[in-house]
Amino acid sequence: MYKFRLHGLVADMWPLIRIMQMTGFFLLDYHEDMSFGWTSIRAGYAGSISGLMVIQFALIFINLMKQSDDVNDLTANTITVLFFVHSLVKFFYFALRRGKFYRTLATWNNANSHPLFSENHSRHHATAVGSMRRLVMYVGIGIIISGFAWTIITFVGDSVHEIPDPENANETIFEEVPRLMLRSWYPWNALSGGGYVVSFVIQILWLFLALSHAMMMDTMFCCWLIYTCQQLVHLKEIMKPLMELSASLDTLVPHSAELFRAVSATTNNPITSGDGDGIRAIYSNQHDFSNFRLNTGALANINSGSVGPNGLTKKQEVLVRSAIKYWVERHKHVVRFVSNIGDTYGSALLLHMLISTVTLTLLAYQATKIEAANVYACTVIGYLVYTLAQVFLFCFFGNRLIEESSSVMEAAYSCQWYDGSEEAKTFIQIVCQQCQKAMSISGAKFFTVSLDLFASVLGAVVTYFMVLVQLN
Amino acid sequence: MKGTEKQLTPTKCLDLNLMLLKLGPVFPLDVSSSTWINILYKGYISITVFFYLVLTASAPLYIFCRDYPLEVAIELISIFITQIRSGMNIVTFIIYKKEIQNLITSLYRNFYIHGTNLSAEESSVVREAMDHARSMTIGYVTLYSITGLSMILHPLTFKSTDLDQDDAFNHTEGPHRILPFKTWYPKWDTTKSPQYEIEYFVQATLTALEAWCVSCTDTFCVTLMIYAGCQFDLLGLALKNMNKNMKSDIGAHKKGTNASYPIQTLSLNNSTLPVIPEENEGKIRNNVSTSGRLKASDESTLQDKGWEDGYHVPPTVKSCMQVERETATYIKECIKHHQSVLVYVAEMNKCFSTLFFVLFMTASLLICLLGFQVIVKPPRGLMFVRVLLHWLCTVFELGFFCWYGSEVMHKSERVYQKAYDCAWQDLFSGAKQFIPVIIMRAQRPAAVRAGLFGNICLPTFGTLMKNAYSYLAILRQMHEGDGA
Repeated sequence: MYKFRLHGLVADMWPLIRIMQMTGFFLLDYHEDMSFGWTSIRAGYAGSISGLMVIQFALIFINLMKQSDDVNDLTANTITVLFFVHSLVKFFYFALRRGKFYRTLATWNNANSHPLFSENHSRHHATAVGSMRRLVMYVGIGIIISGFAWTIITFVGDSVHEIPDPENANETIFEEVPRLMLRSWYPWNALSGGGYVVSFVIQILWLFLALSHAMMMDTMFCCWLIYTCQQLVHLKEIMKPLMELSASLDTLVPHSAELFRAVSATTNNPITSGDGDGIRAIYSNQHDFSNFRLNTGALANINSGSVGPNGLTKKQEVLVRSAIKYWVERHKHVVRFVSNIGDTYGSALLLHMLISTVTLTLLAYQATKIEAANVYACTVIGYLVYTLAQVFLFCFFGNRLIEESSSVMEAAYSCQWYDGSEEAKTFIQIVCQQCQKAMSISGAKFFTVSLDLFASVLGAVVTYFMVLVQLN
Repeated sequence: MKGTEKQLTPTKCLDLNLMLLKLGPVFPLDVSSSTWINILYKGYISITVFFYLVLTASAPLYIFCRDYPLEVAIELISIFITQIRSGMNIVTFIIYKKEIQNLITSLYRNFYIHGTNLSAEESSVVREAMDHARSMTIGYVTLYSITGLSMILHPLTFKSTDLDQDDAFNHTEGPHRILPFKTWYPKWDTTKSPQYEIEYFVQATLTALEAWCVSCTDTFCVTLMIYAGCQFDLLGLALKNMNKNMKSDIGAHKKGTNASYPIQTLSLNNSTLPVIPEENEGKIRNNVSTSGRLKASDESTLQDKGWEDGYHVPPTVKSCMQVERETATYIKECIKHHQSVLVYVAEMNKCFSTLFFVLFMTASLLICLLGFQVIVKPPRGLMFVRVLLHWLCTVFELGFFCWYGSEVMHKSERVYQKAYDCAWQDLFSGAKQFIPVIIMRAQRPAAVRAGLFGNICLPTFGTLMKNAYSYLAILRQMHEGDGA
């Protein structure tokens, strides 16, 4: 049997992937047993969940059509419909674009490594995995709390709605509606008895599934961004030892050391004169190099061997060059990953923002009708906070990516690059030029995901609210 | 040049600000070496904090325990917000004491790029910055003192006839004496005699202290920003005048005797140096014609001979390696200075970013509320002057920060123009590699940040004022809606 091995990004994001599989996403890969029987069972499971989601959503929509005479009801139902359109859209987006998601998840399966920097890398990798798991936990808790809050608030207050009095057209009476979380039309009588229980169970299931569908995709996106940011932090941190390596190996003759004053900033060792013991002495004082096992036979005899153009021996040059190569390859890998993410998820973000804009406009209108702190106010504020929180989640991480990637240039400048060899200086130059423009995720090229976007959304909501208050 | 002027000591640049801070309870360094005075000072700080908490707690108590019209509510909220902002100021200086001390020491250090002397041009730049900072500090502190004074003296000019219109709400007040700020505490009736005086004293002391602290801390932050900008200017000067400074190094060596020339550079291990004896006018821009070819062995003898004859003798052609090395050293010192000023701005951000965030977040709202008090419901007498001054102070404070924040950003960007202005085309290729990286880094401005609000610069000021105006419009509508 094929031995399934978790590696790369999938291993890091394993809890999230399992949750997604359990909630019915069409994530049919990454199982140990990929035989046809099991795959079809899983596909059947995902298919039935998708059927449930679509049917219940259609029932809600039918209810909206039926209650479209009253403006208040219409607005409230439209907001509910729009709120859950997110879940459907994300679910089917994933189903249709599975290939791209798999490709993005497989990006880090073959990462390069360098013995000098492996300790630093594993440290940052562990931090990234910890942050990702924590984020999944928080989002999961948030979903559970929201679900319960929704259920509880259903049982507070009167479960009625106003309709025009059939006898007297100018007055309204209160008609009872089923005490359920969502206003939905059922072909059976859902007011009491068995029909009520069945509807309640379906709705609770559906509510939790819908909330998870919407949030889990965004969480996956944010986890990708967390991973990217940690990789960038790793690159920034190894810039300094890299430059010091290049600088320390570049001393020409002892006396000129005073002129250059090439003293490492972190350790206070004066640079040893350029003889063979130098490398070992340097390595033993910097923790990053502790994993590097010297081929003592090869590198110890520095004095022998030809002298390169910078005064470095061939072996020293190879070392510096390999370190630089690792850095550049890793950075290119990160850039590739970010473009994969943008490719995969950009359109989903665009759709999310479009739907959210309409939802928030309607919510602003609903908010102008708040008179007192009652159930109505709570629900409106709850919707508002949840929608804004969804937007804030990916804006926050998008902004972090922008800040981290643009600070690479500052990290490159702040190390001791001026003491490095010509090759190191050229490397710094190219890095600075490349990192001047920050890496960002765009919503299918329409907008950039950053905190500016969130601020503009918030500002727009406040503006609509103020305008609608004036019109009242 | 004014050779008789006494040497400018940049370590005096923060003297005025530190003295002002000492008078208020937020001095970041140790007040004096005597432990008694330090203890007294700590007592001073604790009294201030106690008074502050007492007054701040009163606003929410008032809101929850008494009824009041809209104007009183707005007044209370504006005082509460002011308290929060002043509190942030004081707390920042207490919490970040260590970091502020580090900032001050690194500020003094960053005035010097090469060696420990400032050239005449650099001195004039620094002097200008110092004068500017001093005048700004004095003006700002004066403004705040006048505002604080108006707040304290306001009740003394209060006429009892003004209360007639408010009588409907103030049944319980007998003698018409008011305090600077409306407060309410359980079981504390401020209309009776000793309580009124005590409370008045507490409020007056707190107002004076707070006004002083806030103005001192604000001017301190702004002074730090001014000097950061000044140091970027110094860096720009050093880069632009690279060739002139290098030349004057060579010139000084020409005129001086043996002693003035740093002989170490010639004591290089001659055997390993490939001395390239060639005329290369591109590299050595002297008016003096270069002499012919040198042999390595001539160097040490020329050391003794060449200088004694003054500058009529063509100086020894410094070998290209020496010139290269000196240029490289010069540029590296400039880069190190650039790095340390950037680190300085980053540390300033670490200290003050939260403070600026709170200030900027509450600024729009506060300006709106005070503007409402000034425009829509003008109070009579000294109260109007007091509110107007308060409003002016808030707007000025915001404007100050944004103006000088903009200055820092622009000055840090100007460095790249100065880097381009240096005669880089005449440098040897190794030195030429430094310039692009400096330019790329300098093109990204070093900005003081206000938390999530972004950089502190004039566009931010514009946005905040616009927001304040829109809130004011809403508030007016609500007020007219209530009235009509």
